[in-house]
Amino acid sequence: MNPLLAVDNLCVSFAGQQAVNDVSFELNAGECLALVGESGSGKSVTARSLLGLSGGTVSAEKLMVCQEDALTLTEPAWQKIRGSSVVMILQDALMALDPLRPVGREIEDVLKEHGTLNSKARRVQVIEALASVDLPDPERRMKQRSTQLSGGMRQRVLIAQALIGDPQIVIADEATTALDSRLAALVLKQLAALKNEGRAVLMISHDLAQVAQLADRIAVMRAGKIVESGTTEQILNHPQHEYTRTLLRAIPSGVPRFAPLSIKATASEPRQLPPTEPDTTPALVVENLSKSFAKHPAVIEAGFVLPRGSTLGLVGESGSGKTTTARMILGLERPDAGSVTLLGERFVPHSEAARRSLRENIGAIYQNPLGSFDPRYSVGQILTDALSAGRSKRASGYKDQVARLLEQVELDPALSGRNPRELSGGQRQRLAIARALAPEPQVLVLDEPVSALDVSIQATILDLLDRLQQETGTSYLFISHDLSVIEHMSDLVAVMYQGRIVEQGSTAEVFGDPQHEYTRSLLTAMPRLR
Amino acid sequence: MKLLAWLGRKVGGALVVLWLVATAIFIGVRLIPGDPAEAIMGGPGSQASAEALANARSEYGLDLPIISQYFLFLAKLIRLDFGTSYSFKDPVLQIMGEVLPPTINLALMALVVAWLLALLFALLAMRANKVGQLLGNAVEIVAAAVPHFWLGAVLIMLFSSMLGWLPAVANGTPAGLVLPVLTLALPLAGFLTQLMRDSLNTAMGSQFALAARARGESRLTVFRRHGLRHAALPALGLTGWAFSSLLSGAVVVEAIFARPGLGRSLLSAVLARDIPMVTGIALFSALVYIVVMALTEAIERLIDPAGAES
Repeated sequence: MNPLLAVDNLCVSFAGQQAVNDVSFELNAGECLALVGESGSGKSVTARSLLGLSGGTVSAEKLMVCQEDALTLTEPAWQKIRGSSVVMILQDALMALDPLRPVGREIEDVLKEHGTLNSKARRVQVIEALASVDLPDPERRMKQRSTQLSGGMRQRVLIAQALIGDPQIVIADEATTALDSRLAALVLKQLAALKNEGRAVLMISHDLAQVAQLADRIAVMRAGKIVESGTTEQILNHPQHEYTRTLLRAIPSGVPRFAPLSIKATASEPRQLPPTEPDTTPALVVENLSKSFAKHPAVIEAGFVLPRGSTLGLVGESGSGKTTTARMILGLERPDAGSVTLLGERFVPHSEAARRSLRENIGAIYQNPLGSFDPRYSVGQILTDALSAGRSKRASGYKDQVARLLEQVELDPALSGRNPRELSGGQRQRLAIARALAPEPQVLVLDEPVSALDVSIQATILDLLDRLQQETGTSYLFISHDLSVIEHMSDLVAVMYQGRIVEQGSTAEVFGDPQHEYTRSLLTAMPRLR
Repeated sequence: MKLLAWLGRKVGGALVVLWLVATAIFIGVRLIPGDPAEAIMGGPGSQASAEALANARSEYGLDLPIISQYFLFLAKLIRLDFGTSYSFKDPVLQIMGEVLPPTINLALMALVVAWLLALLFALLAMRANKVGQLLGNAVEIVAAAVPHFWLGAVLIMLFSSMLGWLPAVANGTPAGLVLPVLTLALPLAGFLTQLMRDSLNTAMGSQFALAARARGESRLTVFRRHGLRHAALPALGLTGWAFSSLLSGAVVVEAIFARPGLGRSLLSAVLARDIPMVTGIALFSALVYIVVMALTEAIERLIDPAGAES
């Protein structure tokens, strides 16, 4: 049997820059191959060149797509293949659907491009496709725009759009990334069904744990090259290449608390219990916080206690109210009801003037730190600004302190003159942590701090957060949709669902013996390698 | 039902705005120095007798206390009675009926032509290479920056004096409309294209555009199905403003091409202190602005129902 995809020494370059270098693989019908690597490794470019959409200069010894020589295909011939023989499911369902068009139209476009059905027949097919991915009420939903659908519905629409052309090859480009475990499991289930129907599935991901559930073979990519490939069993259990081992080690699920995930991290020390503090008041007491937006309840009677020096993980899917809760705790959003006590003192509700003196005790770190840096400030100025509580941005008086902060987060003090835009994603997050640490807060609210990072970078940031907590005894409120991160980082866990905290307890209790239905469904969907 | 509520809100808002405009005009024209009665009698040069001036005052209600004049003015407005023009001695409504259609015609045609040109530019910009993009950008900026009086003069020089293709004076034929419409439309087209280009580039480089390409759509189809909507939204939001600027541009263009219309009447009315005419034209301009704004908002709601809700 001829393979559906045969790639031999594929090279793609952009303006002389080599993005993909001598990549070779094959993919048969009914088989799933995963290309795993970090952002910039060339895996997405590889995937796109299989559709003739890489946008760069492509050369290869062989590039066969569905038994056609893709190197000689003309643009009209490509258009015939795309959407019918080869389809692509993109990463972010919200971004991959035009917000100005009804989703049904987007799916219907596939039929418009490939086929001769009249509009009535097309609509019937669209409804069938949506029903086949278990979208409730497809007749109504198809007329809505992507912004009006929930995350799960959007994912289903995206899959329906891929299925309706009856493709032989499905390329899933980070299709499960940044989804909470239930949604990711949904996508994986759909992809598995496609594979079982005899289609070829090419998964592109940075997450080994996730692809391991579906892939028959895994190819690990780094800097445009495949460094190692083999069956999933080989890659997971007998990795040969150092880089593959780094990636495997970086997966946080099942790794005990404070054990390092990255190789660079200093050897794991036994956990030093925070020095026996005479003060046993909790770092944070949150009671009955509620908030509605335009009569839609976002948070309903959320409450928990964060003891000093420990970490409470707040987990839930997007839209569950985690971020609103965090904003209320930080005093950035006025709650409709409830209170927050910080280090034994009233913090919310309170006037901003009364809160100001307490503010230095609580800091925040967000998913995308770049947006929270003034683009005209250098790294040094950002930290000086934080150290002086906004009174100065002239670096001279704070030079030593800035250098100490940068060292504390393992950044080269020489970066101090750079603009944050010149930093990598991981470096930016380190800078955000350094800035949050500047006033030496007792509590840090970390809202999805590693969700935008590759697994191996995520590992180094998590290790850093661990080390800082051991050194400073700072308490963390760690918010994430990623169960494996929460499991590794938290002493206590609170599970949020539809605005309510449905379950909370110690990490061992919640992960070992979940009581609530929702927690159980989350945990079954969670990918595990250990 | 939603539509009715929206319409009700719009009409209510429009009435409030019109009332505010009317009040502002009422106060404004009374701040112009000089005696309105004199203006009625044909200006300071007419040397009307004191008796004649007094007669004119009582005839036009100018001897009443200012507050009574105001309410009288509003009461007449409600009955669509804008009074009689001082200078033309005809009802204002009748005069406007004569001078408005050519101006609105000109502005509307310029608006349509500007949009068509802008869409064409945007499409060309999308297909162009780097040099073409830069060149197009330069052309747009120049087009958006030139003043009407200069552009009008250059177009006349080029197309009627030198080439002799088109008449320099608006003579009522379709050919006579070409140059005035182009003079008005070109700067607006340049401006609209600048607005569109940014959002068009963002849309064409977005994930959903890539998804559309991966469905087998050609670049042109993606432009038509996705790019256009995203490009049009910001430009649409400014079209209400653009139309009112076209109306004021029409004043200049009408002068250059010797076209009859609102612009020239407004100028002569202001010079002659013709308060009813000024009031009528100003109120009408406000009404046009409100109507065009409501129309563009309606189109925006069609394109982006979710965005309009929030």
